[in-house]
Amino acid sequence: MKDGLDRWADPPLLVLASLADEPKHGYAITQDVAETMGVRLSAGTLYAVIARLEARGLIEPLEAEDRRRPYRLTNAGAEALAVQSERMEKVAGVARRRLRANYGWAGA
Amino acid sequence: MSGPSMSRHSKNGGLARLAVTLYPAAWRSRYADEVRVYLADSGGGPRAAASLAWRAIPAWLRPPGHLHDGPARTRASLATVLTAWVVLAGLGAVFVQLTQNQPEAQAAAVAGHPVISWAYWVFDAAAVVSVLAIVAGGLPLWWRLAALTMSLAGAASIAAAAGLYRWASPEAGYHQSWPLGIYVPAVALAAAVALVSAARGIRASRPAGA
Repeated sequence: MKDGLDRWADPPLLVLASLADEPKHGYAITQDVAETMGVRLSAGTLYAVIARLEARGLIEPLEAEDRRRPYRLTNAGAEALAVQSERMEKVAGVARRRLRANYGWAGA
Repeated sequence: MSGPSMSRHSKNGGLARLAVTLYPAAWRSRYADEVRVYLADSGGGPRAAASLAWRAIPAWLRPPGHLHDGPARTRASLATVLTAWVVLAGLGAVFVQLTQNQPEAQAAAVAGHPVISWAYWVFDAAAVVSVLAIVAGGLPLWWRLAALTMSLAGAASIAAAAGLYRWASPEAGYHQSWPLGIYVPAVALAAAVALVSAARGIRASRPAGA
């Protein structure tokens, strides 16, 4: 994104959403987030987020494979992601309805 | 990849790997290895180096809870604050010794500026109160130390305090300034205790094997 709004994207949520698919190591997470969500996570941000999520028990490390340690979502992480996703869905629904009503937006 | 490009890439990756060394020992012990692999996969780059360096600051200020022994970190913080306070108070004692206990300078200052004489009294009172505060704050740390360590630290600090006192005022005896006669050794002793405790606390806050 070039409009600066990508700062609104919450990196912990992006990482949780990426891991909801399958366990991934750091570089695979950044690739997945970039390809599917259009946000580039820097190395510092990624590992700051991983450390925080691990400390809060939302993700957990698996055995390292060739020095690449994959992480997976815990049940608490899945629950947190579900709560945040519902909240975002509500915001998105309100925004879509109002854009259609007031700005003639015909998007999805 | 061409030669110059590879060289630039390697240099950028080196910067990023260097940035990893900015993190606390516990963080490096847990994540440094996989970050290096990540950098090898992604090629590093100035953006990676800058982001790693920037994110090292919160890693020190607010380290992830699962990496540290919380109580040990608290003890280290407390001991470090005490050490800083003791050093400040110790320097104040030397300042007073260098200025107040010079008979000519003191007489001239007090005669010409009554406010200055009050300021000295205020300083002496603050010095006594600060010693009490340091001793009270240091007691929990003191109790954690072995008797032998305490004895050595106490003997060394008293000897150092005596030397410092005489250096600061070669012509003055201890009797000329009773608060400092107690104050300086007490401050030095508390400083030694706080330093030893801080070192123990900092060691304890590192991960096992680091």
